[in-house]
Formats: sequence, structure tokens, C-alpha cells
Amino acid sequence: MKSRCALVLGLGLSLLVSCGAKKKQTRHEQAGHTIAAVNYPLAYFAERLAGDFATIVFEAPADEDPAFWKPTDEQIARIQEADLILLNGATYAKWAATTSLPLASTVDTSSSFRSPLLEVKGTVRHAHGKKDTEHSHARTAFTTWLDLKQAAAQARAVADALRKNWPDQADAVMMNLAYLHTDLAKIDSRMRAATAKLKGVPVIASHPVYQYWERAYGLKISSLLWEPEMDLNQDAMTDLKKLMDANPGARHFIWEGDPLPENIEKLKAVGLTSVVISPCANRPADGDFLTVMQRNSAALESLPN
Amino acid sequence: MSPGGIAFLSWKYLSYRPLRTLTLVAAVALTIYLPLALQVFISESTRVLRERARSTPLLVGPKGSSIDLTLNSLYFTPQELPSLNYAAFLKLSGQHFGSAIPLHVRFRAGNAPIIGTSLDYFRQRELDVAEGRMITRLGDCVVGARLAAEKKLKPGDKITSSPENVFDLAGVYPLRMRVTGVLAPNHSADDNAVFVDLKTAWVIEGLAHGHQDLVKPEAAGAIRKREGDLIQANASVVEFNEVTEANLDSFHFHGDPATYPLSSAILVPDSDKARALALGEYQGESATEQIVIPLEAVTALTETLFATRRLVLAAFLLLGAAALGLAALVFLLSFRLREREMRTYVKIGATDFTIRILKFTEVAIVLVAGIVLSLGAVVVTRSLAADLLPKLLN
Repeated sequence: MKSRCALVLGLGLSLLVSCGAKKKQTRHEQAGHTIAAVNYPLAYFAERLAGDFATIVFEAPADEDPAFWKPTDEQIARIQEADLILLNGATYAKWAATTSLPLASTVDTSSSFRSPLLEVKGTVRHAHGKKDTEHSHARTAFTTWLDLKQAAAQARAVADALRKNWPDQADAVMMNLAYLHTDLAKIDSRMRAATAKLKGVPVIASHPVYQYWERAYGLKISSLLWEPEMDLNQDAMTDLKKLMDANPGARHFIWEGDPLPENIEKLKAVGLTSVVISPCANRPADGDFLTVMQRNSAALESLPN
Repeated sequence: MSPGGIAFLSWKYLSYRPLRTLTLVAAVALTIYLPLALQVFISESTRVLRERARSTPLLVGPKGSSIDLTLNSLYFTPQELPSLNYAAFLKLSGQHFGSAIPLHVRFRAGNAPIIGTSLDYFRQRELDVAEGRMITRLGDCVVGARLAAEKKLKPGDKITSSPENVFDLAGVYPLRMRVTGVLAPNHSADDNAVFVDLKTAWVIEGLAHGHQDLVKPEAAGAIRKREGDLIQANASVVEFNEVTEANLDSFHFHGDPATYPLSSAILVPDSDKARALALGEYQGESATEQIVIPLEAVTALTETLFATRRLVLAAFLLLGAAALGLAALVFLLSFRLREREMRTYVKIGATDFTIRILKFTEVAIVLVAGIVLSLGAVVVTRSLAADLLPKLLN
């Protein structure tokens, strides 16, 4: 008798759940709300905050860096049609600067940062005439979300835009934001603890994308322009040697992605331990933004003191 | 004599002197048409003006004539107004009164105004692309339906902005723009315009440009001075007058974007409360910009039009009376000259009454022809008024 009751209850519950899911899908399809994001962290925030009532459009291909990806005219047209367009700001996705986007539905998620944006150093500046002020065509440092407090501010900017666009969803969005902020705060604390062992020791990075991470966690990072899968030839090793000479005591080398095994060995030979800190600008092959940040923290935690 | 016979004789006489008949018909038609057309044109213009003003809830622009600002923003009329800087637009957007749409109305491509705006403008005006697609990047433009028809423009064609002053060699460079689409007609000033992104308007203004990469060896001849990271180029640096996929990345802005100019901004408030707050914000003495309710500005303009209309109508009525008097004189003289013809009709049996009917029929044919012609012209005027108005204003 008990098992029969449990079966009936189970069937009833599964029917209710499936009805709920069907209802949700129908509402979603009917509403047809779309949110376009220029990088994966923003797409992830939007999915966490508005995944229930909007479709998140993130057009950058999986094998390209969204910062340097150039959308086609057709892709731009799709982005233009979105109800909300989430820009990272800080000159991220240069295509956005030369593209026509509807101002009313475009949000710069880094415009509310309290700390100033950082500029990439060492780029050629020029002027066109005597009266013209000198300027650089280089970008501002743009990997803003690696400072997880800035990531939380960007998530807040996304939530504010969602509330403004869909006031009827405001309560749900704010509840989702509270959960997301809790998750980001946990990762931030873990990252702070994990980076403590790097403080006061120079760190060398394969690419100049860690500026906000460096500032947020009090690190000292010098960067090369290397890719994880590149062949570390004599010239590359000479560049590394120069950087190591300028940063005596450096023991750790940070990669954006998994390096070739021989590259790990070459660095080990010169006394550098490789560690992968993924900026997670594009959708990861497995997991999500949080799991990637957790993997970053875990990689740092596993480093010898 | 049967009615058919009278009509036949009248028609034969009128067609025997076609020039005289046509002159009389034209005089009658013009006498009726001019005051009616004026009435129709003004009432239709008022309707069109009010309709466009109604779809433009508020305008924020530089201080000055509110009518000039309204005509410039709604009808793209060339005006010597000071500019609204981009900082003021950003402030307006940041106040969250509603949707703020920038307008940059300064440049022309031939006679067509080039309007720098954002995609929100097309949504506000319900302007759809009939052929091709919407602008996507710097250097793109969509053209109004009438302009496309007149200039035979289609997606993929190019259109070049006109220099403001051909003698100013250091002035604004013409920009060759890519036509990406043709808009559906909406019988307003939009049909005659070229629409670009606000940033493209700034490129035309010379605030942004693209040029050869000064770091590359082929640009060596264009370098005046190199000091560390700073390169100063001379006047020979190759600047691009067309944005292409290849040179798009080289386009960059100079100076402080906050100082970049706009003509005005359309404000579409979210609510009545937001509207009231916006009106209050810009009506204070400390406000450096003005806020205009286009419907009020247009109403003031149409009241002036109505006052003028009364004067012109009085003049037309006097002229009409004179013209009809002259036509009557022409008929009287004509009947006197035809005394022998009338006597012949009597001799072959026509009564005095029949003669009078004959004369009346001739006059009636001319009058009816004149009335029909004038009414036809009034109908045409009514249908063209909406399209004529923007042209007349420009």
C-alpha cells in the first residue's frame, strides 16, 4: 500500500514538474527575450540572472578570443536585435567601438567601477600635428572580471539593466543576483587566500591579461606575449631570460591555457613552475565560469609554498 | 431645339476657339484652386507637422529658438544653431527619464541631409528597412525611400558626403559611405535623408579618422618626429576617405568625446512622472540646455501659418473676383460679336429662350470644366502636401 502511494505521489510530482517545465518553456518562447553578451563571463552572469525568461546570445566562436573576435554583418544584425546588449567596457571587443548598436539597450557593465581602469603599458603613442594631443591606439586593460569584486559589480550592472527592461522579473533577478554574489564572494575569498603565497614574489605571465587580477590581489606580474601552444624557441627563451633578470626571484609562470608538456619542462629547466590561470573569456569546454575560477584557485593552492 | 442640339452647338463653338476656351477654363480653375489649395495645404501641413511632433515627445537641445530646434530635429532644416555636446547627452541618458536618441544634423550628401543617430531612432519612428539591411558599422548608411528612388540608390551603392565649403582645403573631408539599405517610405522628412551612426557623423566632422599604420615601414615618409613611444606624423600621412573591412580597425577618435557635438536629442520619457521631471530639470535658470515640447512649438508655428493664411486668402478672394469679372466680360463681348450667329438661329426657328439656354450652356461648360479641373488639382495637392512640406522646409 505504502509503495503504491509513493508511486502515485511520485507520478503526480513528476507530472507537476513536467507541467511546470512546459509552462516555463512556453512562456520563454512566447516572450522571445534575447540578451547579447560580448564575452562569456557576462553571458554567464546573464544566464544566472535571466536564464529563466531570456535567451542569451553569445556569438563568439569557441576557438576565438572574444576580445579580438570580429562579428560578421549578419552576426551584428542579430546582436542589434537583442533586447539587451551587454558590453564589458574598458575597450573590450573593439568591434563594438566601430559598430552601430542601439544606445537604449546597450549597457557598459564596467562603467560603475570605483577603481580606475588600467592602461596596457609599452605601446606606441603618436600625434598627427603640432596641435594634436598625443595618443595611443592601444587598449585599456580589459580582463576586468579577474578581479572578482569587479565581476560582482558587472553582475550588479547586468541585474540593474534586467530590472529596468523587465520590471516584472525584478524580484527573481534580485534573488538570483544575491546567489551569484554569494558565489563570487566565496571564490574571491578563496582566490585571496590562494594568491597570498605569490605576494612579494615577482610572477611572470604568458600574456598581458592579468592587470586587474594583479591589482586586486596585490601581486607583481610581468608579462610576455606567448601562447600556450607556441614553440618556445631560442628567441622566446631569450625574452624570458631578460624578463627573469629584470624580476629576480620569480618562481611561477602563469599560462592562460594548458601549455604543451615540453613548454612546462623548458620552464622547469629555468626554475619556473607553470600554473594555469584561465581568464575564462570564452565558454569553457566543461564547467562554467565558477568552476573555472575554482580550478584557478585550486591550481594556485597546489603550488608549493 | 432639343437639349442634345443645344449641347452640340455649344460644344462646337467652344471647340472652334480652343485657346479662348482653355484660357477661360484655366482662369476659372485657378480662381477656385488657389484659395482651396492654400486651405488644403495648410491644414494637411498642420496635420503632418502635428503628427510628427506628437511622435517626438520631447527635444533637448541648445538654448535658442525652440521652433528652429524643432524644425531642425524633425525636418532636418539647415539651421545655424549652437551644438549640444555629447556630455550633455550622456547626462540626459544617465538621468533615466527615458530613452534618449541623439541627432546630428549638420552635413549633407548633395541636397539630402545626413542624419547621425542611433538605431533607437528607427524604432521610435517605426522605420523599417524595405531593401537590404540596417547599418552595422562605421561608414554605413541607410537612405530614405524617396531619395533612393530619385538617385536610383540600392544596397551596395556608395554615397559621398558634401564638403561644407569647397574652398576650405583644411576643412571636413568628404566620406564615401556604403549604402546598406533603403528604408520603407513614411511620408516625412525621413524619406529624403541619409541615416548614419552618430560615430560616422563624427568621422565626417573630422573628429575620428583612419590612416595608415605609422609603425609600419611604408609610413616612414609620413613621420615628422619620433620620440620614444611618441610618433608625430606630417601632412602626407594617408587618411582614408572610405571605411572598408580592411581599414576599419585603423579608425580612431581624437580629443575628449564629452565635447563632441550633437544637434539635439529626442527624449522618449518612460512615464508621465519622468516627463514632468525632465521638463522641470531643463526649465531651471541654471540649465545650459533647453527642453522643447515639439507639439507646442509646432502649434505656435501653425498659428502663425493660420494668421498668414487669412491675409493670403483675402488677397486670393479679391484676385478671384477680378478674374471672374474678366471672364464674364469675355463672355459678354463674345456674345455681342456673335449677334449675327444668334439672329441666324432665330431665323431657322430658335426661340429667345433657346438662345439664352445656348449661351448659358456655353458658360456652364466652361465653369464646370474649371471646377472639375480645380477640384482634381486640390485632390493631387492634398496627396502631395505631406511629401512637399519637407522639401519646402528645406
